[in-house]
Amino acid sequence: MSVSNTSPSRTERTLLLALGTGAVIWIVICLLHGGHAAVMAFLPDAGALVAFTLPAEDASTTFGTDTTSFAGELVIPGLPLPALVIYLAAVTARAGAGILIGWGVLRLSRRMLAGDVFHSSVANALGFISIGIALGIVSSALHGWVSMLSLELLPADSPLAASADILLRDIALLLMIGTATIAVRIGARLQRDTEGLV
Amino acid sequence: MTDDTNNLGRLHSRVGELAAARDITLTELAERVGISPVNLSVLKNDRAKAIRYTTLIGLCDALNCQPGDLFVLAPHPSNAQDG
Repeated sequence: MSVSNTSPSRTERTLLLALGTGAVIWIVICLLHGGHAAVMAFLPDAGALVAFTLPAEDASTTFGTDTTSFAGELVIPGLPLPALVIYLAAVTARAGAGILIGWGVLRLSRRMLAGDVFHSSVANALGFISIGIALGIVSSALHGWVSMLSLELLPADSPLAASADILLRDIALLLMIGTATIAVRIGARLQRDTEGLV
Repeated sequence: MTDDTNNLGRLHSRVGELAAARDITLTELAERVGISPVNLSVLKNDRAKAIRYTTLIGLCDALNCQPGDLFVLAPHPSNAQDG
């Protein structure tokens, strides 16, 4: 005997379809951006796109008004081979993270549309998303490392400093999704245990 | 898992027969036992996988019988072949 699932309402269906469409667009953007960055690294006179911060006093001098520290990205050509390899690993990890998260969201949307909230594949989809976020954290760390290596190539008196994305938010998100995965697994077990219980 | 599923098919519920013999409708029996008619139907049609003690006791009280009267277990297929 299978427990009857509640079919999603029209609004829920529309929202889930929008979520699925967003996931597809996200995968395409990640692939295009990752591909563009990887190709750029191999072009003559091109290099890696690295993140930097400009301290507040230097940013104020540069922009002429009082301002806080300025963060941005710039292309640094002529990277040493190890930095280039790390950069390509970061770009690949970022694209992989996008694909995994998008794929996970698509699978999640599909299961939710079918009304299977506590299905084992829901936990698997959340697992895909978690791995994607973890890969994103690794990519950010690698990117930060490349930024540090790249900025060493600049003149010693350069005020620019390497910067990396704040990972705290990603880690918090990872923990939340991990909790949701555990909840789904418990729900699936409870549903399995109570199926056919009279 | 497959063995469990096969074994469940061996257990036949006599709830329907006992209720009919006592001229009690399934709706009335469900009310007396305190379970939903859907769950009683699941039990009657051998689609249940587990039964609560409270349901078992309620059925015995309502049908004035013993737990052993409610079910019949068919012999295991391998035993049936041997015999």
